[in-house]
Amino acid sequence: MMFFLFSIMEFAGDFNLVLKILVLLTIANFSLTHLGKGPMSWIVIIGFAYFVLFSNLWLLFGGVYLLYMLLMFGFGHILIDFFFISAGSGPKPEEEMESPVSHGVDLAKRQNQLAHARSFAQKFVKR
Amino acid sequence: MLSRKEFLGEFGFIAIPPILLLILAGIVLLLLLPPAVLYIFPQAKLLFQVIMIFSVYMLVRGYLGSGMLTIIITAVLIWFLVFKYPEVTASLYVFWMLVMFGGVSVLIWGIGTVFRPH
Repeated sequence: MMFFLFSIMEFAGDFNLVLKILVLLTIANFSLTHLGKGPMSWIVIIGFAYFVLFSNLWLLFGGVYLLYMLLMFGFGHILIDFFFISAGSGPKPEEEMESPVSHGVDLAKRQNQLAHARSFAQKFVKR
Repeated sequence: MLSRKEFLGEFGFIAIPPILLLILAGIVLLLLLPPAVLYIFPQAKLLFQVIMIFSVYMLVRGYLGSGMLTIIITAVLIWFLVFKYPEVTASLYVFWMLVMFGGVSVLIWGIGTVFRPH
């Protein structure tokens, strides 16, 4: 059990490091694209890297970046499909739409309802 | 086909349709398939590692260009992704490919259509 927990913690730490490297690559790419390869670009990279990676806000930035990566890779489509499938699990038997073609049972049921409504209305008229 | 309450017993407050559980089970099976293949076929593991090395290098070079920093970061990522956790990387890589080509949508809609209660 302890070995399993240690393995999970080790995996989480390694995953955290890989995520930080990917965030650093994104920051570096953004800075190098916009500012070129000069010293200003590297100063910006170091500043942003310190603020994002080594501050207490890493939980926020890391989570947002993870969400961004998931959405970029199409995880949103999976969620949409999930919601479509769960919503369209079929109508309940008592809520099924009526068939446009009348059946004998359906006709008898409707005649019974009409007779019941007629007798109910007649009680009000007699009063 | 069992109703929701029959499937979940008396836990009526859990509003998870059984079909979603089937879809989740399908996705979990899909994620477990690449590690199984890597375990059964060592040649596949070697091939996957070579492909991943090139992929990681191309990814990092796309961000940073050519240089010593690219090689250092590539080496670190290769160590973690390719040599320490190849099974996890294989699962995520295959899943990512399937998502990109719409294969997961096919899986979800297929399970949802076939196992939908009638």
